[in-house]
Amino acid sequence: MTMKKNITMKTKYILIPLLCALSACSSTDKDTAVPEIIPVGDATAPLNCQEYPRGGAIFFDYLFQDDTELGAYNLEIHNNFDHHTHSTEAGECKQDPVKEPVNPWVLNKDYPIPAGSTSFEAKQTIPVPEDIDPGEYHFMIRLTDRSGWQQLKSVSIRVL
Amino acid sequence: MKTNNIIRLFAIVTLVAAFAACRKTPSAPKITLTEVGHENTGKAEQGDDLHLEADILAEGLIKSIYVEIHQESGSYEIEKSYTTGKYIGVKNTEFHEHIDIPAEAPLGEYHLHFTVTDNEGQTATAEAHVEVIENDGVDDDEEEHHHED
Repeated sequence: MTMKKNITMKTKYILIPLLCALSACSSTDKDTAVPEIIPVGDATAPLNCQEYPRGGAIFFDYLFQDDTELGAYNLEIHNNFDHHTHSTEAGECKQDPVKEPVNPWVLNKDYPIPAGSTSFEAKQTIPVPEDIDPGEYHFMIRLTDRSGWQQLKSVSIRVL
Repeated sequence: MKTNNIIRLFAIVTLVAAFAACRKTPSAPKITLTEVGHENTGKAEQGDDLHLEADILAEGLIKSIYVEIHQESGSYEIEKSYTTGKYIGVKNTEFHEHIDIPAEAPLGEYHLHFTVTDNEGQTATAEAHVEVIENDGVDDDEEEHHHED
């Protein structure tokens, strides 16, 4: 009887640390998936090669999804007067001659996503300033999940 | 009793080893400079800007990005650092910035250092060569006639 008890005790000493060891390693950093930026049908904006008049607005609308938890997103606009490229570029639209910026549109803004979301439709009204240079711009969408994985979508737009 | 002690010791060692193994630091940031200067020419005009694009992977999350462009022979320096915003607190990103080159930046050869620090304090630096060239003075209206011989 005492012999049997001893064995159970011994097993416990071996099993518990082993279990702890296994669970300690598996609990963190399992998220390997990058979040997704998904069109929402007809409302999706901006889309590649769309044109926006100065004084108007971009009604930003995309769906964000992540397998674990979404984090935050950033919208950025910079000029493409020199026809530069992005490795994630969606494609080229009709091009103006290369020109130098005088008063180019610059936007760089962070937006929060409610904690615990795995799916979130982001809508923002972005006014197009009156006094900026017309021409080609890159509209960059950067979506980050809670563990830091980032998805980038770049859209070419034209300001009229 | 002796066997028990040995087993206890084994238990403690396993626990310590397990935690030590799991707390391994993430690997240092990795940087790939994908574009330096317009179309990766390594050139930038005075009074214009330098295109800079890089792919960054930082398991330990990006804490800061520091760009320094200094003259090869001379003391002129252009510095830019990013500690908040779209690149910070993320694991992977495409860095894309147009860095202003002041009109008074002397012409010639420069070194560019691109340094990423993660939340663990680990850093990685990528380097490139940059040449500041004369502004070709392209004006919007003259554009189409500019390259006439």
